[in-house]
Amino acid sequence: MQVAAAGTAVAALPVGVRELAHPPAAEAAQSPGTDKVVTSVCEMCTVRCPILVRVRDGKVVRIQGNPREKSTQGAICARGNAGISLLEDPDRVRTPLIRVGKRGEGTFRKATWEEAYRYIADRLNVIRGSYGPEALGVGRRPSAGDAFLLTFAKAFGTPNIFSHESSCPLGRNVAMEVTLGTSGVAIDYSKVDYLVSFGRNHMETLAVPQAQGIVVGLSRGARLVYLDPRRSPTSTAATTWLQPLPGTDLAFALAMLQVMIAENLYDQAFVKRYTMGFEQLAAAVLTYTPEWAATETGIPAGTIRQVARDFGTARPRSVADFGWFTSTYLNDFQLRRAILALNALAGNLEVPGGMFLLKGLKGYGTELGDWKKPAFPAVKAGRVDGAGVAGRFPLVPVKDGLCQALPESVLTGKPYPLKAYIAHRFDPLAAIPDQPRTIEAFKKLDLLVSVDVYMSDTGAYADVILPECTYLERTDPVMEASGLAPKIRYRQQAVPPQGNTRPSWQIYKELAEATGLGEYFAYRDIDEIVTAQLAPFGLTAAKLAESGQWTPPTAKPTYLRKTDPTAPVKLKTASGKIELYSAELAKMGFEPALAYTAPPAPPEGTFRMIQGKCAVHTNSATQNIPVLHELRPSNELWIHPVPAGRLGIKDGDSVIVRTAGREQRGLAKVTRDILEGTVFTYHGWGRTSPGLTRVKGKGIGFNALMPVITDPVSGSLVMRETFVEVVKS
Amino acid sequence: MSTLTKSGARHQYALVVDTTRCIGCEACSVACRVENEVPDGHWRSRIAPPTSGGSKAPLKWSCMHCADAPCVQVCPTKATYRRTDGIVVIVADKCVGCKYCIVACPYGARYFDDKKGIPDKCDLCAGMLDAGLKPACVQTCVGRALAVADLADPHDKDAARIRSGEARPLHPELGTKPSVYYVVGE
Ligand code: SF4
Ligand code: SF4
Ligand code: SF4
Repeated sequence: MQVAAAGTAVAALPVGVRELAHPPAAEAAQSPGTDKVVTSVCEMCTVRCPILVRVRDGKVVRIQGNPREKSTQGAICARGNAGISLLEDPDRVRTPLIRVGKRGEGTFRKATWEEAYRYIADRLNVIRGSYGPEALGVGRRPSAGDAFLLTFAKAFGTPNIFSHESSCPLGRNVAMEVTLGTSGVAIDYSKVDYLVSFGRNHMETLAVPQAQGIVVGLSRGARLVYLDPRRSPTSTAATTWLQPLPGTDLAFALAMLQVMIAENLYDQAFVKRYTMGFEQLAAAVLTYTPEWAATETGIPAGTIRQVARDFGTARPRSVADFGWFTSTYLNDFQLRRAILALNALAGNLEVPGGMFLLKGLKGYGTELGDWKKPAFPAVKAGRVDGAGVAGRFPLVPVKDGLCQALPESVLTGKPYPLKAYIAHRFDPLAAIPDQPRTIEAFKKLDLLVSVDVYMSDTGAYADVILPECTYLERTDPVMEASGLAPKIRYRQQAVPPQGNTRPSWQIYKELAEATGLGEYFAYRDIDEIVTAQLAPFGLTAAKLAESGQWTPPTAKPTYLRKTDPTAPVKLKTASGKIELYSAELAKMGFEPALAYTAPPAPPEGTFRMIQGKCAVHTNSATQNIPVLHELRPSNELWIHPVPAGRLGIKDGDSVIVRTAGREQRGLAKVTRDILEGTVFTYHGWGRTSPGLTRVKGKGIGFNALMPVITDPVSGSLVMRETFVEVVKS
Repeated sequence: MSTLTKSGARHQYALVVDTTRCIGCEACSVACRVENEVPDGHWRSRIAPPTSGGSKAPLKWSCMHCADAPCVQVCPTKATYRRTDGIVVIVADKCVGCKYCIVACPYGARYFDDKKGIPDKCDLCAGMLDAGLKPACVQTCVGRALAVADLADPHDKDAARIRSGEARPLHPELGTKPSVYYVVGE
């Protein structure tokens, strides 16, 4: 081999790269002259894949998947690979900002942390004095650092704690709580033989372990039946892609149940032992034949019957996916219940290739420790959103609530108005539909604080922006990542925070001290918290850091019914069984078994508008990150050639999408990959913040068009029951 | 560095892209971009999405490491040449920046790196291969769709997919004898 080539090749070899091939030991991280390799956890989406961060001269040079994790085998997605691009993005807010201009103008002055804390604390204390502590609302995208904001809110004394869940998976979570007693249920997709996915677009929503599991399954001959009105990458991967009319998946699922019962394709022994309400279920689905479902879904009866038979035949290794994003139709809650009933009839609970309960640390008798804090003050006021309250939203968990209650409370004063709001890694303007109304609400708040890495759309309206450092610059509390066995993961700091940014453990501690609540944050730093967390396991942070994750040595991956199909499985429902019929729902006045409601049809001249995710972006959080922005800078309106022709719209034309006085502009993508009466766009664009210099003003904002509709059962937002007009602009 | 296989033969590298396992996620595109410090606006590897009427699967697209490479033929200084292990590389010192190779490449694999002042492209992560590691795109691949095959190794199961004809080059009619092979489903 030529010397010249060898020289080139060696020069191109990054120092220390060998350490990456073999998961790093502590020595590798310390040896001089090589790159430092830090085990950590990704935060480019909510999945939290384990990663290795390669650091050279104090700079992150590469992030890769931690090959010790079996479910990802060293893979991470485009977003995970792009962590450096977020870290180095000049658009990041790197110093605290206090607003000087009008709300929304995005004009701020730089401030010290002390000034910013003082500003917030003074106003919070005035608000508490005048309106009570419940006038503060806090909202966040759930994360490993949740404890800090939540401790602050509880110490302050407010019940008004929100997450973004009601704009995303709340419907499926509530349906699983009602039916299985927990939403802590998962699937090892690599072992499933027959998967039916009702619109869960695994290849673009892209949780790496799950997408990889499906590919592994498919490559050994498993089948995937995928329902989606749009051709997505999951349609491409699927063995069967079906295009139902939007909002009719429930009819498909009900007909599958009908066939399985009528043709005796279900696991009778399982149903008898582990479920309750089979009789009511059977009665409820009796008339939902494939012939009936064909008229609803537009899918031939023979196809529906075949899928039901194949599903029944493949049991127990057949799974109907319970989905994730379920803020869709008013009948979605029923759809999730029907999907869980399909799994029950397949008898797939706690067997390989089926669904399993997460085996958490608690089950093994030890939980993560915590830092010591005094008891929280008693909360006197009720929540503004009625979460957990009989007669309002009794099924909604109070840790999540209904994020859409923010504008409602502020603008109507019902039941009382929120006066202050802290948004952490959460952009209410991007999550809650009807943006003009949320903006109106923001303008009436006495205090709006955004804790974020960017000036989000909400940040542009905030009084104060507190710049959090990124996940690469901070250590977080140890997180639980249990599956078939308990597991913990450790996100540790790879590089120091850039500029004047701080981690949230420090931000809320210092804010609490300024507000007079310091006693609730009586820790020195994050290392002290991690030490307290790990104490029950006799584990040190240094030991955990070696591989970045840890499972108690005595714990083995467990399927409770793998060898004994009659083994007890404790479910936390009232009956201790899978509730195909729910007395709880009946008592609350909701449909206790299953029943179909058809989605409203688009009025003449309008389209149903649906949205979805693309594989390189997370919600509205990543579109501005340089490398990811380059991959996909904008979205388009997908429209079928037939209606496009009628409207004189050609591929690439500018269009206006309108509904109820709201409008968005964008470009048309004329394609047969969408049904005629439906238009589609990728979610997360339509950003308005001047701080998002790349993505501001690009693309169609799906949320900007939708009104707020709330599912009375699950509290979830309903974002696909609104119709739009499309015109050439 | 190891330039020889266990049996003493020279490596003969090829990339196998199993399109039946590719989900089009572009993790490979970004891993490559970061690992190789590719400048803004350029990519060594991208995914061509499936299109109605066109390819049914996503196609990972990068330098094909052609055995009869037009880029090598047009290079006036022999800065671009094919290593004996099959990797087409550019020697920065010899490159005069004439960009003939960018025009000559029928696969559109090359871009001009303003910072380095030379054309650049996928080098199959030669440095990593030489160190016994997998290329960045292969390492990160979500669908486990990518593999480096060594045609000099009779036991290499990825090389077997090439020999059996299961993995085939893209646009062989261009006559450049590419070393990237695609497995395509029915
Ligand atoms: S694909 Fe293009 S750059 Fe790569 S070897 Fe062939 S001609 Fe040269
Ligand atoms: S082999 Fe290396 S340079 Fe080539 S596409 Fe993959 S990551 Fe990029
Ligand atoms: S990472 Fe793998 S699965 Fe994803 S696009 Fe690249 S080749 Fe395909």
